[in-house]
Amino acid sequence: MHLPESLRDNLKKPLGFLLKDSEVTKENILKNISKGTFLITVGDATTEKMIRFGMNPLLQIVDSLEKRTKRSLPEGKVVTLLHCVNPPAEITDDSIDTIKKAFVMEKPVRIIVDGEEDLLVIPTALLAPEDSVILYGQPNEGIVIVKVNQEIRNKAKLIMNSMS
Amino acid sequence: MKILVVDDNSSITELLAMYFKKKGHDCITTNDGKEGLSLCMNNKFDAIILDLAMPEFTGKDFLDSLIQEGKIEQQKIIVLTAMPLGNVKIEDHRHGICEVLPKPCKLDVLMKTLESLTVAA
Repeated sequence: MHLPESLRDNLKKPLGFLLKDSEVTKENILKNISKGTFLITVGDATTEKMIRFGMNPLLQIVDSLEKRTKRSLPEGKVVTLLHCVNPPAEITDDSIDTIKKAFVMEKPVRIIVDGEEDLLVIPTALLAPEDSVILYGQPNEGIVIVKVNQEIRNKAKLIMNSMS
Repeated sequence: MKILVVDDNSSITELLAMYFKKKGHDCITTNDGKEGLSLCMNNKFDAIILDLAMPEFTGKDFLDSLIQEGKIEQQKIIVLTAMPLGNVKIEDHRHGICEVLPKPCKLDVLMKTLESLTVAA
């Protein structure tokens, strides 16, 4: 596959940027989220943290696991509850269909993943509305903030293609 | 684990970095074979994931350089290749190479291979 130079340059930039654990405060998160932003969280701990900050994500993708250990689901307001099956290290068609569905259902939506949500930030970045913000955790490091735009969608698509 | 990924395909390095970091590992990536070699010479990695078919400085060049520097034995290298595995001639580099996996490689297979290297260490 031949990539245009412009896209190659885009790919050199990371998918998101890391807010270190010590810098994860409500104020720092709000610096990256404007009013009315479609906020998406991937991961139980990140979802819980945002809810604790008073920011209930409109889409929450959780698997009831934290650092591979079973945990209770985050509290928080949820109107629509969806389920999907996604084994570790995979992105299943079921997950992709469920994420697509989540964007047209009444918010806030929570997707409970039977398996692991580790990689679901990739199809979420591909399918999320322009200017939405995806937050996901990086163990022992912090929270990665992904601002969705065409560049990110291109990158997500290429990453998904590289898996097949 | 501290993992070095050397692959000219940015999509692959980004996917692997995201995945390994999500799993709590330290992952450094580069899309340039020469840079990968420099990283390898100046740092200690628990494992190196190396693409064979890279432009200019290939995976084979990377392995040859490690041999010349006498550093191949110290490495645990997993080679990724899109070539049919039967066509991959890397016998000269056997000592540093722990595994040859086809591309695209399932992430869980790669993870299990990495974990088996750590257990074996």
